[in-house]
Amino acid sequence: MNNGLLLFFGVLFAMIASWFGFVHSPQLQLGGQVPEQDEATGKTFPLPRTGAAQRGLDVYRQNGCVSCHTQQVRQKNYRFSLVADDWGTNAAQIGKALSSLAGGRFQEGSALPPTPFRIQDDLSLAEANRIAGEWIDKGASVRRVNHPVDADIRRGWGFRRTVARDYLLDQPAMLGSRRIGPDLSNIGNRRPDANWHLLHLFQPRKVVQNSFMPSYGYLFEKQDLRGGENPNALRHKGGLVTDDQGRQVVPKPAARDLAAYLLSLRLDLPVFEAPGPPPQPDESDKANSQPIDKSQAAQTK
Amino acid sequence: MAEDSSNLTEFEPRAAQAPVPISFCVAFFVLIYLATLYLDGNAGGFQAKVYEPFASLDVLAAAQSQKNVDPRFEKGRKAYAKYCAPCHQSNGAGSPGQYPPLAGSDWVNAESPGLVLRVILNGLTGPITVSGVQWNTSVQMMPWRDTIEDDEELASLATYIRGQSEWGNEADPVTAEQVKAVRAETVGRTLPWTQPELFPTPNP
Repeated sequence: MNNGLLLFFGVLFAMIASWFGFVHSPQLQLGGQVPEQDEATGKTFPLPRTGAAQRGLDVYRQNGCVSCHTQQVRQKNYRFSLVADDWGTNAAQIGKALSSLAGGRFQEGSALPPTPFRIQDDLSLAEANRIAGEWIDKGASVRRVNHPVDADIRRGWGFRRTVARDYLLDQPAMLGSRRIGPDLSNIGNRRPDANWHLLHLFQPRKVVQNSFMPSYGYLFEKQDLRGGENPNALRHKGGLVTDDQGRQVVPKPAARDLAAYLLSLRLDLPVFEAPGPPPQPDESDKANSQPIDKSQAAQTK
Repeated sequence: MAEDSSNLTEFEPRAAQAPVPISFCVAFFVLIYLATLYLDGNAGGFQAKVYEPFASLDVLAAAQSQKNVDPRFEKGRKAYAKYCAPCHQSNGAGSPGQYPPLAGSDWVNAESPGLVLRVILNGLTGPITVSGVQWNTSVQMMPWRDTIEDDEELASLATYIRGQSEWGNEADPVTAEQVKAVRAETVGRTLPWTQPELFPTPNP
């Protein structure tokens, strides 16, 4: 072989260069990240998982959920709103400016609307800063609110993009690469009911019409009803769920762990890397996001 | 390489060396240069925290959601920086042996704002006890009655000092009416206050 040495060093150089490029420099860039406390909410992010949810990650992995579900929300842009917190003392000038807003929400001469008041939506950062400056000159106190926008956000899969810090506690990170089913980054927020998840794992068509997810029946134990009703048995719309032989269906620990893991997948907090408004607290969500236990499973939904 | 068609069977190709055309080199370096420009503009300074669509850490920091602001508190912050911070420091810690602290002070956090308003209006002199610590300072605090004429400004200043949670203060806000009342009560006074007059029984 001619130039064998040159070939050897050429290949060696290519390997080393790609190792530096693909392994070493990303490690330098992202490797030092640690969970951080959010100043506004005082919570540490990402939130540590409970034991059941931690075990559920393994069930998720074993069952190949990652083949059809991603856990990454894309977001390429922001739009900004302006919100007034205080109108200041210059009522005449503020009223004039308000009446010139599109939509005719305010008639000049009437009392100023109560604050906080959303002045304008759908602005770019530069526009928002410029218009905010105009209002501040008139004596009003206004602030900018970020609205992440992109296709994934419109689908309701999360209110902000996922960032590297979201996966700090995942070992391994279940990023996924194919979306045969929907993205699950925020499924704990979207479907905060453990019983829904259990039903969906046992028989997806029962809760999602036209779903083509396979049934994970082997995560459930079928028990004869002659032994009495199990308080943990699956229920749907008040009735006991039974299999084709009329037996009740009781989730095995793996199914409960998987449901706990799915509930722990939440993008609730805005992070510095992807700022956005915190989602509005929803009372109905709160009632449903109890940890999975007997009373929850026995509840009819 | 030239081929000799009459002697094909004996022809053995060999790798030889030839100089790389200079135009390739130029094109290659132009490409590298353009790629570097692109990286520079789009890589977010190689910061781990910068994601699309932000170009750098500064842009990201500037685009953070803004919190609700209390305009009076912000007005007070400005007044504090102007009148008070030279002695009491911008963190309200004062200066040992000379200027007592405002952060966590039992004078500032008193239930009624009258105490702090009187001190601001007429100044303070003599030995005082702040949060249980004795200050035998020879420095006399100057009166602000004529400098801060606007009751609203003085009220927002007192609101800021009393409500600055970063200093551990959490007393109620002060209104311009309260300032007006205290100003009227103490209108004839020209001397600075002393501790026995204002705060005879400081908290231990």
